[in-house]
This record gives sequence, structure tokens and C-alpha cells, in this order.
Amino acid sequence: MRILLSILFLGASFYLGAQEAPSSYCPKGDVVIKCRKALVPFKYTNMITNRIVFKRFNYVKEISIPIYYDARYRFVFNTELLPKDIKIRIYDKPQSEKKREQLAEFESSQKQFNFEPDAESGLYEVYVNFLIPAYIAEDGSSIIKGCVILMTGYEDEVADGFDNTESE
Amino acid sequence: MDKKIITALFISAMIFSSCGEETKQQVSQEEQAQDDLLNEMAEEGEDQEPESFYLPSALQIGSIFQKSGLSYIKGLTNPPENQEQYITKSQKILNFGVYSADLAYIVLNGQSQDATAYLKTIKSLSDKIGFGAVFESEELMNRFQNSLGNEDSILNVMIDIQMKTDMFVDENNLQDVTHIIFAGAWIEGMYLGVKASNPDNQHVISGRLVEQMTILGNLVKALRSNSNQTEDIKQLTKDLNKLDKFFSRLEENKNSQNIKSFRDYKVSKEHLDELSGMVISLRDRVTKV
Repeated sequence: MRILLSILFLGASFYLGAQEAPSSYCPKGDVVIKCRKALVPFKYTNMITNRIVFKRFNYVKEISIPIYYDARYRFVFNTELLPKDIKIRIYDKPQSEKKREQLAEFESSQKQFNFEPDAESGLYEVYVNFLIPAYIAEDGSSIIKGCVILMTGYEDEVADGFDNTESE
Repeated sequence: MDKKIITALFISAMIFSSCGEETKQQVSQEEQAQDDLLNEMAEEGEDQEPESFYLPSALQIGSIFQKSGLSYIKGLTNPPENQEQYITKSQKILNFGVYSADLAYIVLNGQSQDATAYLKTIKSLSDKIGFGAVFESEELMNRFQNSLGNEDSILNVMIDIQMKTDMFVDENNLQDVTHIIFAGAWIEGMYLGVKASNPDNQHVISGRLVEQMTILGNLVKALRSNSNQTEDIKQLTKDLNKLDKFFSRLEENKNSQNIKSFRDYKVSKEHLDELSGMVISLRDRVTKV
């Protein structure tokens, strides 16, 4: 009886556990702490986990981030959870616009980096482009995935009185 | 009784074992089909992951308005007792967002005497929408209570709550829910902006209202991307899209690309009244069932 129940329990557990957890390829516990530290002294406002799938062709994934006037922002990117390198570029307009200005460019090999939009630029939105290179696995069929953590913060009202705009 | 239990367990075991029993040929065919599908998706460019939408927190929106001189008017926020009338999950999720915006408004205006009631309301709704884990920490609730009266401390607690919520959403793949929460928070933020502005700062507030409209397009896209399109959400998306279209057709909007102009953005009183009316009407539909 006990053996039968054990077998049933194990079978049910195996079946239920067979579904891949959404964060199984993006274990970000430690990364979030690193990003949080890098945000200081800006106040946390949001965090996005950008899931990156490496396909068999080059492609660009874009997200837009609204920014408000009279406020300073810091975007902290962490790319430690990527299995392959990508480029990250930030623009003032979406990729559908032919004439747009590149505001910054980063390589994911840097692992963690910050971007602070110019508060006087007059922009109300910036566009982050993830340039994902083509990849094919050795076995010719596996698909690899990773993620880029983007954490944002807005200014501390009294920041001008301190000289700690760069965190350690 | 023992015989019945044994029979039931035996039948269950047979069912499980028959589910697991496949011929080698069937397993091989299924695996091949799955591989083929994945390969096809990778080649066709179908994104296996949902699109990411950046939607600012209720606290940030509240902070932006408050810095622009939004005054506190008692009784403007959605009464906590209204939570009892929200029956569908969509109504609860939407008003979770509404109450989040209310709490930000209350805290940012130093009205700590009302803050506890709103936090309790948010906690209660969080249990009903599956977010209970975010607020179950006694330490967090105690920190909130102990911080009442100290605006900086309480803001830090709210930031921690926001961060916990974002982590929870991400770990549990609840992005769809967060789009709806944000919709509620955005509508309430706009409503408070419309109702709590006074003639002295109306020009500044109207600039902020217009600034907020620039993220409405993203919000509509985010709601449309939700996999579960309930009737409530479809109607909400339709209403928000209508508001977005109204705004984009405004004469004053022609030169709105440069945000510096938001400071001096002059919306005619007629258009501002019309925009305000639409916001108030939408907010009433969300909060008064």
C-alpha cells in the first residue's frame, strides 16, 4: 500500500515538474541585488526582464521607455545571464524611423552598465534596441535563451546637494 | 472502505502508467514533432517570449504630479469599502491598480492617517488576485506602520513593495496582470490630476496630463497583447484607445514631439475639459460597478 502510494506520488510529481519554469534560464536573484546597488542614489521605479532567444538569423528586439521632463533617470543593465554576446543600442526614436540619433551603445560582455538620459534633451521616450546575432547550436537544433535585466530609477530630489551620482 | 481505496488507487495507477506508456516509435515521433515546431518558430521569427512593455509605477506617476503642485483633496480617492463590490477578477485587478495610485497620492501628500486603510485594502485585493505573497511579510507591514508620519521612510517602504511586486510578477509570468494593474493606476492618476488641480497650477498640471497621454499608446498595446481577453479588458482597451485617438487628433498636439514644449504646452480650456470629462467617465466605470 505504502509502496503504491509512493509510486503514485512520485509519478504525479514527475509529471507536474516536467513543465519548464519560466525563470529556469533566468535565475536573477543575485543580479537584481547588483542592479539595485548600482541604482543608488536614484529611487527604484521599475524592473524588466528582457528575455532573449537566439534564433538562426540576426534580429533586433526593441522596447520603449517613457521619461518625464524635470526628472533624471538611471537605467541599469545587467547582461550576466546571456549565454552569448549581444549589442545594446539606445536611440531617440523607434527603429521604424530612418532618421534617429544613437544615444549610447554597449556590449553585453561589459556585464553591467548604466545609462542616464540627458535631462535637457527634450526627449519623452527612449528606445532600447537589443541586437541579437544569429546562432546555431552544435547539434543543429537546440535553441538557447538568456535575459537582460533592466532596472530603472528616477532622481533623488536632493541629489544636487551630494556628490554621489556614480555608485560604487 | 479499504477495498474501495485500494481499487481507486489501483485505477489511478493504471491511468498514470498508461499515460506514461508509449511505444518507442510514438515518443520518437512526438519529440521529432516538437523539435520541428521549435525549429520552425526559430526560423520564422516567431518570438517565443511575450513582448516587453515598460510601464512606470503608480508611485512614479504620483510623484511626477505631486512635484507639479497637485493639491490633496480629501475624499477624492476611491473609498476602501468599494472593494466589496468588485466581483470579477478583472475588476479586482484594475482596482488594485486604482488603490495603488490612491495610496501613492495619500503618502506623497503626507496624509498618513488614511494610508493604513488603503494598504489594508491593497493587501486584501492582492490575496484575491494571487499576489498575496507580496504582502504576506509581517516585517514589511510593520515597517509601513512604523514609518507613518515620516514621508521618506514610508516612500522607501513603498519602493520595496513595488520591487517585490515586480519580482513576483516576473517569476510567476504575470505580465498580463501587471498591464491591467497599471491601467487602473494610470486611470486613477489621471483622474486625481484632473480633479485636484487648482487654477494656480492648472497650466503645469495640464502639461503633465498631456505628458501622461504619451504612454497611453504603449498601455493599449500592452493590454492587447494579453492572452486572456475578458469582456472587461476588451471594453477597457476600447475606452483607452478612444481616449488615445482623441488626444492624437488635438490641434495642439501637432508639435508635441519635443518634450520641452510640455512645460509650455497650452491645451485649450475646451479640449482640457473634454479630456477631463473622458478621464472622469472612464474612472467612474472602473471604480463604480
